Amino acid sequence: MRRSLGEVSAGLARLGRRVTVMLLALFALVARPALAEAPSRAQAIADAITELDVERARKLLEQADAGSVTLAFERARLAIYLGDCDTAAAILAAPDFSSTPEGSGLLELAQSCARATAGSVTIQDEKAGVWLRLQDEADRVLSPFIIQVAVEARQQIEKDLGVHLPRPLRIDLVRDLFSLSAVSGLPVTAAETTGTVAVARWGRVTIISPRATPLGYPWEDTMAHEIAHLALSRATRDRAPLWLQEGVAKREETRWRKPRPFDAMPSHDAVARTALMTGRSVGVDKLGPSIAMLPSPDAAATAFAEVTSFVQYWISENGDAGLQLLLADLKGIGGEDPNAAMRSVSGYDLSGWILRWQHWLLASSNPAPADGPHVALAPGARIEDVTRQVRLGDLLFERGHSARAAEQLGPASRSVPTEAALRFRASRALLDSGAAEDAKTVLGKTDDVRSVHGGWQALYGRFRSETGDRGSAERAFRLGVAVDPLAEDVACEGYWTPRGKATGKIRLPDDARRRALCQAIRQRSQD
Amino acid sequence: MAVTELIDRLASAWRQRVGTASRQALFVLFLLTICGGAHLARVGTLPARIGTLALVLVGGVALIWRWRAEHRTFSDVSRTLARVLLPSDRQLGERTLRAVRLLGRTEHDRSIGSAELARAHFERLLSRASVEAVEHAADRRASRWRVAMLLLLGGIVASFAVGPMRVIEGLDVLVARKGIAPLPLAWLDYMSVKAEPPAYLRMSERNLIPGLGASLPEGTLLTVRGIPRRDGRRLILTDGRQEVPFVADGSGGVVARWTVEESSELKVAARFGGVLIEELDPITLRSVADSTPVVELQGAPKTLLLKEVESIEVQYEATDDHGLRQIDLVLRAGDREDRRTLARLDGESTFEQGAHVLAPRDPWLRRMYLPVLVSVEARDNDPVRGPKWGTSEPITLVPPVLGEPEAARIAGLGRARDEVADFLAWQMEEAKGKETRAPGATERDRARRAVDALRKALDKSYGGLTVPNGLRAFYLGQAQVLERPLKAGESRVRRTEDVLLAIDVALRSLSTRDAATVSKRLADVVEEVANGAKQARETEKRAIGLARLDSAFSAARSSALQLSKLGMLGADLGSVAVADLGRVSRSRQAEDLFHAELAARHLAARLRRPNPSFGGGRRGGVESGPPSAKGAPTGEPSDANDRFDELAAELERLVREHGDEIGKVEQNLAEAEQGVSLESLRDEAKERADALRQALSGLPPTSHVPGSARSAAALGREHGGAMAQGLERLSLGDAVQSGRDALSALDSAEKKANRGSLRGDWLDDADLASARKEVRKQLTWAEEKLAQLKRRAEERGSEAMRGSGEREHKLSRRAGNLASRGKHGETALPEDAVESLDKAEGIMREAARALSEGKGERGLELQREAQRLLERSSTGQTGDDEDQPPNDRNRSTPRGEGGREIRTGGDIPEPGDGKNAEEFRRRVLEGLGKTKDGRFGPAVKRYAEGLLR
Repeated sequence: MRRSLGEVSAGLARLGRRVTVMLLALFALVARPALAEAPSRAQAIADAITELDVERARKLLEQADAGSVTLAFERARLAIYLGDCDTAAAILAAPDFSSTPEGSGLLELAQSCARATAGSVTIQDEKAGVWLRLQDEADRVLSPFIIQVAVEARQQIEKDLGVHLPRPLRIDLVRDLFSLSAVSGLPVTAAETTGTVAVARWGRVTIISPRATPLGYPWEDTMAHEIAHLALSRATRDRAPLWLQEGVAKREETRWRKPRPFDAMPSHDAVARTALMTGRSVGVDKLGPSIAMLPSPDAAATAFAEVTSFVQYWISENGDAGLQLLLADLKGIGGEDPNAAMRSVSGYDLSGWILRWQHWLLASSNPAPADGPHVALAPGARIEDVTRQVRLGDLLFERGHSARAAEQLGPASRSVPTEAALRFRASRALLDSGAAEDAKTVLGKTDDVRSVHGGWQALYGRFRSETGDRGSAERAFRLGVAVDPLAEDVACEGYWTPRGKATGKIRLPDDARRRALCQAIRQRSQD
Repeated sequence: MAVTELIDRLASAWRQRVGTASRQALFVLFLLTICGGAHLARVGTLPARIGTLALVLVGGVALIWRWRAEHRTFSDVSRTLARVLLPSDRQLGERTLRAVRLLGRTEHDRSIGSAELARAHFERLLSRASVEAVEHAADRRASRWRVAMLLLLGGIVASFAVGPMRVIEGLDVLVARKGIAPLPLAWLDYMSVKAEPPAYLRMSERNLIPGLGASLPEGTLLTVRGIPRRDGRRLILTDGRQEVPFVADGSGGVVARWTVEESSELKVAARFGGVLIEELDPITLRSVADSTPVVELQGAPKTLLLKEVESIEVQYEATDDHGLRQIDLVLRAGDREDRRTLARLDGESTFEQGAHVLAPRDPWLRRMYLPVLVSVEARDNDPVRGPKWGTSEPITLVPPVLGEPEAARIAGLGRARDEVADFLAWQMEEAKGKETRAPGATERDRARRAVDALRKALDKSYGGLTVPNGLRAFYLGQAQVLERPLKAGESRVRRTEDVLLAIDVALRSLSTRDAATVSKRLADVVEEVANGAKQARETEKRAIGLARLDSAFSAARSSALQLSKLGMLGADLGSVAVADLGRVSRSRQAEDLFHAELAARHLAARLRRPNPSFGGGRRGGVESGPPSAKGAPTGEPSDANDRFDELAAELERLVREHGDEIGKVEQNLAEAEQGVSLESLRDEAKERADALRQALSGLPPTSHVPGSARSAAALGREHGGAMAQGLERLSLGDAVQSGRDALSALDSAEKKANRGSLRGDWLDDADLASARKEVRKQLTWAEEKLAQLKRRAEERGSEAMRGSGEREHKLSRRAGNLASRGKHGETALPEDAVESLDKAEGIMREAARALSEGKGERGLELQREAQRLLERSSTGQTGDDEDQPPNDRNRSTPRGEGGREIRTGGDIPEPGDGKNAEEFRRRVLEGLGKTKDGRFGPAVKRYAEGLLR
């Protein structure tokens, strides 16, 4: 085949360009100044750490100058990301760091983290790709549940956000808010004010044990929420604005599992709409440094509802692909302002989308939340009487006077018929006194109550199980464990140790994991 | 004459003369060497002694050499002839010696000549030798030796003339071994030894006889005096190790002082360089050390469990051979120590006994978690070796596990609450449909059982911990409600419910407070764990650090379990503590002390912040889905305790304001009295004062016998004098009081004088009678004038009194109102408190009336009585601490040390009134203990303890 002159000259020109590029590249390789290398390498390491790519960061650090202060700081950061707070504290104890605000701040965190995690129990599940550190060894019994949730949630989040989270996923299960603060650096007073139970920071999920709260909390969804934060950090190099972080994390809380009762109660759209109409709106773009730093739990709840509603609206308008594009753009723009990415992906900036969302909210027919966060009293009932009856019922039940307890708790549950906790108490007392049918009636059905309660779910599961509806029973038991796994009623599938002088058979669950949980709880109460 | 015989005669003639003279001269030379050497040796230094010895040796060697040389000379013919003939006839001698040599050669060599001819030649020459000539030459030689000997003898004499004892001393020094000369010498004439024991022993000085042993207290000062026998010697006093030089005493003698520190043999000696020549008789001393005080603690050693004792009585006896200075109560736990001075003494007493009561709730003991060793230590007054502490056997107090008393109290009160719950359950079943009917006998009996259980729980001590006063009063009020008759239309079930909830709420409140307190104290224990780990890791005292860590860890773990029993907060904090101690334990087992320390530090910081693990028990609101109002409605089911606290606070306010009102009335009366002029009485009062002093002058001014008639009379005289002074100053109130005291003392003196039991306790009856008469006379006058003064003052202050009366009336109405509320259900006060309040109200009304009528004195008297009752009725609040007495808040006067208020007034509880009596006892002790720094502080405390026991 012959080639034309034009083709030859074009080929020569291409060759010439290639040679020029190669020469330039060679020059750059040979002549790049040593001083210019450190900042770029440090940035690369910092980015790798931020993106949770600890292996890459480690390799880069191994190749770098060991004496560099900047890189030493990154080594400390990496150690914290790996959960090795001792090493971080040792690196940061050098005078180079302790005299700077960043260094001393990180040193303080490393030291408090080292104290809070010293002697902890670590469980590494290679197959699941989960690294779990338990501050309280008694929580070991929860580890199978936690690992399962982590794996399932991670899988879904990776799919939704188009990002792969490096293995292992690191989780710190701490015993209380004080330790949560020590490990994460979140001020303990702020955590107490807003009721923070988990933080995704330093490449780890730090979450409070359900043991810390008297009635548990939805720890499974919280875990998914925090994993979503980690995934967002990786996907955007931690450049996602707070509303996007929280909105997406809220969205991912429940997507990893099948829908459950009370998932949309109250509806985020309804709460956001009501807040907008009543002037209690926090504002999607006015969240401050963190929702955990908002002044009250109510403000935090409103903020969550608003960002969740907004993000769901945005995704409904732009699709999942739009979300993934937005994340990629955010990672690429290299700045804090998300408007450029928003405009490029969706045609509007944030203000535009907020206006569109608000119009949509106001135009929608979402009803206001039925009863808000407060208890819904039956006509004529008084909250003081309910409080009184509940306490008397509890005292009588604990003494083994189940029938008398039921006499107190029955009126209380009728006064607040949607309150699952009261229905559970009354039903349990009746069941304990031998009135099984009355107990089932008083407990009611899922539609009768307005919120999830571990004990209620367990007792409901027990009743369903007794009728042979094993599927419903299992769902109820799982939901109970998802909320309050360390309550005896819940872990033992609606059975409890007899109170007072009463005796009875103590049944153990058939499910192996719940049986272990039930046995551990009973053993601990005996100790 | 044979040749041989002739030679012998010649030799003998020479030796007899020269040999003797020369030997004598050489011997004298040797002696001179010794004497001269003695002077050199006396210097005492090693070179001097070696030099001397060398001289003497050289002399001796020379003598021997001389003897051997003589012997050799006279055993050889030619040497003998040379020695003998040459000095007398040189020519003949030389020819004779040649003949001897020729003779010798011919005997060996015949070629030289005939031996016989040579012999004949020799004999012929020898025969020419003259014995006389030899004797003459020998005499000349001997004379020269004698001259030399005389010169040497002169040297010897000269050496002795310098000082004969110097030669002896020198020789003594020369032959000394180990620095001590073998021959003791007398150094002092008229030697005396005085022993002066230390001043603190208050013993007189004594003389000692050298050579005889003596026992002396340690620290005794010995003074050795004497007149030196020879001047120029460096005399010392030594025990073989130390030396004290003798110095001139200014009167021709020498003196040395020696402080006895241990048993020894003192010697006077003279020092010559490195050698001592000692005196013949030593002073043998046996030092008697001041012994350590002996302290006996009654019952010790023994071990007590703190939770099982109400109080720890520490009765001790301390003895010392010379005197005691201080007695301390010492508490030790681990490396912590607390010293409390029980007595400071003057150092003269050799025996002290006393007692101290230690309360299990003592703040120091409460902080301890390791066994506490309680001992009494006594310090003596030894200034010689410094004060020594004697320690008694210890009483070991095993503290309850930290938090155990609190847990036991919560459990005890919880059981009482359960009894009420059981009663309610029974009542709900029995009284269904007939709730407003009066309870039957069975129900009353069951109610009584519940109340008894409650009262029992309230009266019980839980490892020294009792129920705080305010809470106790609240519970007693609730118990009263349970037993009182039903009001019209009242539901008895509802009433029991109210009581149960009230008890429950107060109990939960107590458990929360206890949990917070125990948590903070546990933090200290956990900090100790951390410190132990740090010590083991960072210092060389690893074993100590580990022991510290392990013991603190064990205590912390037990305490954490007890903390778990203190209600919801306790369960939460306890669970946190158990979890974190698990981390410490794992690290410890792995010998990873660094992480053990870190985990402990984290836990200590957590426990010092005794908040619930999660925001006051709320449910997660952030990062966890929507917050929900899960669980029961919030809020307390009973506010009975709040209402009770309001009532108690009002009562405390009333007590305070009523106290202030009393102060105002007192001030008004005082001002009114000051406004009444007494100037018209001044002259008369002065005359009366003079008359009184005159009458008292016959009484004894002082008495040294306490309890005697003279002592009482002296006291009467003192009071009488004070009365006279009061009269002079027109201070009639003081004068009257002093007069009454004086009269009382003089009456007592008369009685004692009549008994006459004490020797020398005599009084002049006439003087006594005269004094009594005069005191009585002046007292009557003063009382009369004082009454007039008060009447006039009341008239002057009637307006102010009426104002006080109105205020008192208002206060009485408030008291009545509080009493009425105290009888009502949820704010029920204990029966005795209501009773006191009722009585107080009545008396306050009377006081108000008296004040309104201008009767200030009477009104004030009634007010004071009412105040006592009000204070008795004040209960304190349910949130008060156990150690916080009622009315401890916002009281105005008077104030004690550190701004803390002192409660005044009040009645003395009966001995059988267990808890009140104990509290009263404690208050009295605390009050008396305020003067502990004073001279009589310990004595007052001991006295008070004795009285109260």
